[in-house]
Amino acid sequence: MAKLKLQINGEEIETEAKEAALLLDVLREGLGLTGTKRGCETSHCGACTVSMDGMAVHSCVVLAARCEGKEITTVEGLSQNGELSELQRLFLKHGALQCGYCTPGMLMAATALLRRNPNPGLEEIKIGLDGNLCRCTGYTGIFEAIQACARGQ
Amino acid sequence: MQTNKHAKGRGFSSVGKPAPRIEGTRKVSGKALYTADTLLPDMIWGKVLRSPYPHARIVRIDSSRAKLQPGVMAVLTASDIPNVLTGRRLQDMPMLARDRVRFIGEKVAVVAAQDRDVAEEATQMIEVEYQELPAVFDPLVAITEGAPQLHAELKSYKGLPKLASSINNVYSHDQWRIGDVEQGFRDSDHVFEDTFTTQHVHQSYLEPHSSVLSIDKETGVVHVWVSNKAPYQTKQSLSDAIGVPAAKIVIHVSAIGGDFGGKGALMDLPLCYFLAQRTGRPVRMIMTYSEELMAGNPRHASVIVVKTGVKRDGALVARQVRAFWNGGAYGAMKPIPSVNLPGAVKATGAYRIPNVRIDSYAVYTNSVPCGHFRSPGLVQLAFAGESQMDMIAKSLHVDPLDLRLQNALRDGDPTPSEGKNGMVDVKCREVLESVADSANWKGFKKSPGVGRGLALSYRNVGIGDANARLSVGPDGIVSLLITYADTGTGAHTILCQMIAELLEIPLGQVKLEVGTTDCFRFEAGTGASRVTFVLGQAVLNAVDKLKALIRDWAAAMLGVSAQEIALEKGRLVSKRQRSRSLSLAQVAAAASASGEPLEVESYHEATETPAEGVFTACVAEVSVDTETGQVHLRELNTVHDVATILNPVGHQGQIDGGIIQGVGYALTEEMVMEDGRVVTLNLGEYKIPNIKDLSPLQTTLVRGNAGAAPFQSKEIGESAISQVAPAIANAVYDAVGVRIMDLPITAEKIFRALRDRNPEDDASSREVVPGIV
Amino acid sequence: MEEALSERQKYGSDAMPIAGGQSLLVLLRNKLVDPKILIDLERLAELHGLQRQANVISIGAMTTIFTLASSADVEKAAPLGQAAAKVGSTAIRNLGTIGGNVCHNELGADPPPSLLVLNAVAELRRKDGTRRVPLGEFFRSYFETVVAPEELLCRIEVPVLPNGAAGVYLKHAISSEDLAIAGVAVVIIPDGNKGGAAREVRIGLGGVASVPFRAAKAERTLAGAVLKDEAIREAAEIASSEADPMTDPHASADYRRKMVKVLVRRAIVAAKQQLERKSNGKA
Repeated sequence: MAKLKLQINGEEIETEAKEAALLLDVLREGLGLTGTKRGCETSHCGACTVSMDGMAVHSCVVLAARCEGKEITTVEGLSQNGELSELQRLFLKHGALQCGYCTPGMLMAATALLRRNPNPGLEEIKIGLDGNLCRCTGYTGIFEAIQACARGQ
Repeated sequence: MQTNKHAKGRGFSSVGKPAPRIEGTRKVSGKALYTADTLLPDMIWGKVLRSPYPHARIVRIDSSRAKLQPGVMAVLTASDIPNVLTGRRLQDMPMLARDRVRFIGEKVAVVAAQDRDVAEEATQMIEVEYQELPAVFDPLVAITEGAPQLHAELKSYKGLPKLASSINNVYSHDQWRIGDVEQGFRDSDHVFEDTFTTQHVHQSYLEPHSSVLSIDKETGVVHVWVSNKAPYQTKQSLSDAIGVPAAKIVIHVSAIGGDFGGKGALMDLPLCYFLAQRTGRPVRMIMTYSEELMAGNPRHASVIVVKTGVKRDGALVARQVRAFWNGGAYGAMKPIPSVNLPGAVKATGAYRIPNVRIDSYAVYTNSVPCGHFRSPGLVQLAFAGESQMDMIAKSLHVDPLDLRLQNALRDGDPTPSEGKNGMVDVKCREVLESVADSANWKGFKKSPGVGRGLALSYRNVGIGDANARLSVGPDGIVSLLITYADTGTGAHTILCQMIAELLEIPLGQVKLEVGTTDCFRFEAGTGASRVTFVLGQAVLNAVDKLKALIRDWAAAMLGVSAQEIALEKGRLVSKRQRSRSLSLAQVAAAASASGEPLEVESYHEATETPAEGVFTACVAEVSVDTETGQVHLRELNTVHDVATILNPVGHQGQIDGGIIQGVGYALTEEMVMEDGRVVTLNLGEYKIPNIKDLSPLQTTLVRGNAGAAPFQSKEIGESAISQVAPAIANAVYDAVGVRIMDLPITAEKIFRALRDRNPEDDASSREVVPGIV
Repeated sequence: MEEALSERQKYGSDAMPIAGGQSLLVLLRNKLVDPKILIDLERLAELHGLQRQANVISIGAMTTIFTLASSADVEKAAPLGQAAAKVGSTAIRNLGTIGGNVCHNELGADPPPSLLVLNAVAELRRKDGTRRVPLGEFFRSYFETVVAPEELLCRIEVPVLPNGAAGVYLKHAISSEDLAIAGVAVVIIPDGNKGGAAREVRIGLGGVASVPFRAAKAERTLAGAVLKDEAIREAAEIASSEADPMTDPHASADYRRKMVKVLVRRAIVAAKQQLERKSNGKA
């Protein structure tokens, strides 16, 4: 076991985990932040996506130990003072979620995309979310929500 | 008998509006609690050891080394648990293999440990000696006399359908007949017989099967959280499996991360119980995605033989369909009483055919036990039947659209599933004409490598039962308590919209609570396209009861008779003295204060499928890269026969989701099997469509007035999938003249078919649309 | 760096270096590898950074695939940026590294064919020295490279293409997240004097043999040749005969071989069109 100092959603958190612990497990099991989901665990589905220094990463293939000194944001960190972010509101408005399981990952990937490129075109949105699978929505609503968010910005 | 049509005109205030999901805020905030998010104190992990052989005797199991591993708290094999077979209907599946394994992935032992890695590693230390037995993987081989008999004790199983057959390895043979097909074939000018095969596909819900179970130390009550959409059925199955009375089991209905028919079976729950019992700790088991792909309950692979007789003018005279479902090693995952696939009854398609014969065989093989997946059976059958329709059209030199129009079902036409009275308000023709129009079918200009295909299918809502409890609090909030999970369909939101509509209150004044199985006695659960139809009706009935109750109270409070009270915009108004009125909150407060809070309960059971069918048509346009065989889906046009749309965003979402599943089914999804072994064991190998596969989708709605479900609504969730694969197969044929009769339609299959047709084309350099990724 | 190399020397193959972790951590989770130690390469300054120095781009092993795909410098090494853009998905490109990619050497990886046609060279360091290995000699077999247990891949040096050259990477796959069923990188270096002729055509193939390789026989037929359709077609045919693909659940060996032919022809044609555009632009 090793001690870890992590910065998660703007907070300094000290926790303990195995040396080779994955960020996904530390978030969910160690810190009770179950918003980030366990899906395929082979980095294909993106349900575990979080933001690391603003970049979308699949937390199932990130060592928790590697996260020291980096800013990690999870879906729990998207709303401010209990207020949903613009992107979250637009997801609701455009039917960008159904069962909701891919949604935290989608939101984090979309957030990272818009941070890197505030005005993405169609192709760029597709590329930005190419590592996030959704089985329910057929992606149309997700697409529309992100486009609406980009336009709004 | 249909009740409560609520045939108001248009101009609903809540129904029909694009209300965002009521549970949406929780979902976008990461606060929705799925089973694996239930973190109980002192919870331990359970991990399973699975069979590496498709068919073998278990000679010996030695778990002593595993038991000695530090951190291992229990190791169980079949000899440690009751000798009980489980199943949703047919109980033929052991919880842990006893003396035999029948598929690669069958559970043989289970380990509990605090640490997940310790549990996993310990499973590898369990020594199992197997003696391999001859295995069978092809259903057509399994049904022959010489094939290994996989279930010698079939006749002793509980839940065995009356349709169990004497044919080797067939445990359900469902059949339908209208007229006389043999005579029909004799009366035909042309008879076509074709065989189609379809692959295993996995529902690929992003949330893998998860189970959490805790036994209360004082009361002995078994608390369960599980990714399962049929909690009462599951409670009963669990009770039967573990020998605990159902009254001592509580299932807490959790958020479910996708179902599509795949989350109704017990899966790991009984093992969680035995581990919890042995260790005194709460246990969780979460399937890895490899385990899902190896041992979930995917869509049945099939061999389907379609024989159709037509007159030279195109009139269908007779159709015989034989469907052989590769059901895998156990029938335990299938829920309907016949232990067959519900879509089989619609095998002959949306056509008027005077002579029909359907034989649907569920066959045991040594591969993964299969279950339900969005429109089970019909997806496979539509691929076969609608492909053949185009093949027939081609032979008769007739437009595939015209052939379908000519034979389209009409009101009152007898069908195997609707019986001799057929359906009412049939929109079959309209849907075909509409898709022809929206896709500009007749005006399409062909260019090399580009083609279009058409397909048609129909289905209906499902029957079953449901409970609803409705109450009003002194704050005026109307609360609906149900135990049906919303697996993503948006059902919960629609129910609240209905309540808001009928009570004339804002949607925000309605709250929905999902309870536990202690709330009601029993109900069928989510699935079968029954939720809006059955639970919706239960909710409507509850609203009626509530209205009556509220009126009585208001009447008493205002000193008038109940008939004097009208409900207007959420207020109870005295008709004669309109200035005298009460809010819902006031009435509720008064009732509460008197010790009789406003609460009603309703139970509704639908036993007959209504006579309003739902028709869907699809035109696919593809371009095929003839050098590589890759298919580029240029556009999909779908037409849906609808009446009232309860929530347009949710409705379109169901269409979008179903269509793209159809695209995956047609082109890229396949659980590749090698001698019963699934070799595509992660979501990279098993390829579901991603956002780059988003093709332009045009949806057109044909609006009618009659729908069987509340507010004249019609089914959508399971309609929007079956037409896609045949439409694409037909489009590929139109584009490059190759007919693929075996799903999925891969680039390599098209490439080979093109080459086999024109060997010199292998070196061809026709400039085509490059479809390279 | 000293420490890392010491650990490698001491533990050999029991000490696995972890670069981006995008492949390694999946193997680790599934117990397909069982190292005693993970050597974290992230902190080694020598492995970071992408710099253009005269005619060579020096790429640190820890350079992320995303950086490669978006670097203006890498545009001078034409097919490499295109290949990097096709690796996996955004999240994987964000953390995955070029060093990890080539050392893992998974069948169908996208960058290697491009590195081969650019004549890239790998710099491998041991505790007591450094050696340089051309990428053409770097790959040994499926998942195997020449990197010794006591070595670390430090940098990859990529010569820039001469002005006027063109490069293309084409990939055949079922889904965009996939490894390539067949990956083809082509570079054409035109002959300045003979109009329409290529001084050199380089063809790199991935996913169709036990290692990524250059289709040397095919290349020879095009050296100094005018790139007419017939010559291109013939070269593509030869290239496909040089492949030695295997069958897997998603594509048969025969199909892979056929796709080599299709992609090589298309890649050369595309690169040729690039050249024509460039020279028209100048004129």
